[in-house]
Amino acid sequence: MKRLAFILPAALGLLLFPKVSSTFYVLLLTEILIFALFALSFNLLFGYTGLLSFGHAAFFGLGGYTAALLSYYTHISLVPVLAISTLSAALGAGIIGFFCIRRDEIYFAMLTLGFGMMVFTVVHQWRSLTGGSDGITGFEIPKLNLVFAQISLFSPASFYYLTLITCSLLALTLWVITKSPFGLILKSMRENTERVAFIGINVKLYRWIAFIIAGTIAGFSGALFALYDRMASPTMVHWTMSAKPVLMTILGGPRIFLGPAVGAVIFYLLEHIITQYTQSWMIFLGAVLIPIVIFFPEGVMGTIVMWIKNITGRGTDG
Amino acid sequence: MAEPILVVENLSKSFGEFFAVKGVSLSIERGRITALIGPNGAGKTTFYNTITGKYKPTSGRVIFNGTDITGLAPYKIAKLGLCRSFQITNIFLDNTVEENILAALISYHNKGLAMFRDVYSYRKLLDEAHEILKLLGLEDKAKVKAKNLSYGDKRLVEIGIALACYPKMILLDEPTAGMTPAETDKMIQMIKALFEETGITFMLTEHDMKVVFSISHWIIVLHQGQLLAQGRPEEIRENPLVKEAYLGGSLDA
Repeated sequence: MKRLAFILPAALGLLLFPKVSSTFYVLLLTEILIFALFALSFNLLFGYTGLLSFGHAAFFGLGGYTAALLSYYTHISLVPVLAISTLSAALGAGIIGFFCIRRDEIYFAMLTLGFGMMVFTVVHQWRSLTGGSDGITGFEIPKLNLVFAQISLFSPASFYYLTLITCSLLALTLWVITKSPFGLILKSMRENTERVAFIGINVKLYRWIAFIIAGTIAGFSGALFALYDRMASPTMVHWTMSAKPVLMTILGGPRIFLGPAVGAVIFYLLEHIITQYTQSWMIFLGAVLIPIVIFFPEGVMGTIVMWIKNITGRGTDG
Repeated sequence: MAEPILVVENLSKSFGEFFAVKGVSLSIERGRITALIGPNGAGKTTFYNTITGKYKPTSGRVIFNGTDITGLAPYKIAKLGLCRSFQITNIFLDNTVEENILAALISYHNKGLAMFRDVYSYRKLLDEAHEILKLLGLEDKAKVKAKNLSYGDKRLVEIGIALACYPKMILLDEPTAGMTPAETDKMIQMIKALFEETGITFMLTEHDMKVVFSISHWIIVLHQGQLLAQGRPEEIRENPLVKEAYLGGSLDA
């Protein structure tokens, strides 16, 4: 219940944000929320299952390109666009995951990287469908069809609310999953894959399911991002996009559920502040990242939660 | 006599040219404690690994509780009720003691794919986990992370995980490995108590012969991957082949 003391003010702040802030920051926060969900989906594999994916952008991109293509060529409304985009990412995760989950550790990471590169190459080369390096632009955000009205999401505030509500619901779903029996089995696989098999768990099946869930949610965040950006471009599926959730998760902390989301906030704030002074902001990101990895391997959020636990005497030691 | 719970027929496991287990045939009766002994390198752990699915046998058959389990994946063998512990502690270190046990219970009760309900809302699973922790004397350490336990307690969690699979037969690979004499004594009393409490068929490897003779109803001796002898403790104690294998008969130690 102590959690509520943190969550309620945060939720209130997020809900009121567009009323008190300029459009620029509403747009920035929308992007942060999308990437927070992307990073949370990545962390279901990394922090919870112990699988480091270097190809998570493949599903982000699949969702994004599907949403862009549907918006460009058809006039279907928002809910089916998002649903079909998410499903296409789920299908992609099902196929790619089927192969990747057969290997552990660095081999898993390399397989996901390899598949990610393949998806990038296809997207980049298949000009007639994807527009090649130009990507897909010049479409409008599909309207949200409610029973009584059609709502345009053209204004930044309304798109912000769409993002806030859907990303919160999906983050909540992920959170519930991590607390479930399935989530405990994932955590156990992270700790000791071999032993999990000897208690009767089909490790490959569980990993595959986790991979599909993570890919599906990444696909949803990608679809939102393409609509937000009015564009699907090959950067969405590039390996540098796969690195983003990795960096965010390490910044925020992989062992705390909201760690990757906090990492997304830090990532964007750093980028935003530093690019006001210099274009080579990655140097500064590196300068922040290195001490975090060396001195605070639990990440910013993880370290703060640890301090709070120590102060309130709720240590994990017996 | 009831059919044996485990029948091993002409089982071999080779690594290249080397046979770690060679032509072993034996059967294990239900409701007994069987000790598997042999000098270092006799093939005891390979024998366990081959019947529990970690290795595929080179040849031979393994029948467990009437089912041919030869070469099945470990998770399928565990599901059939043949569970094991490991010589080198093999538990979920960053999870709590309770979570270590719960993971096995979730698997046993086929709740692993339940995704939308808090694991701590499953009253039955929690009660069973605490029952098992009570048997092991770990109930006050339920919320402690396994990595923060003493070595002896980690060994108990190791066994607790195997127990939480509700096995028909349990294989303990050197449950007292690396323990002090006092911890060894506690562990052996624990195994005896568990056997009496649950009636599970136990098979264990152990180096201390005094312990072996005091706890087991039946003893199997492996030597250089082959079955050297088997019989009741008093028969094994007098067996000249066994004495020779142990170099001058330190069996009375």
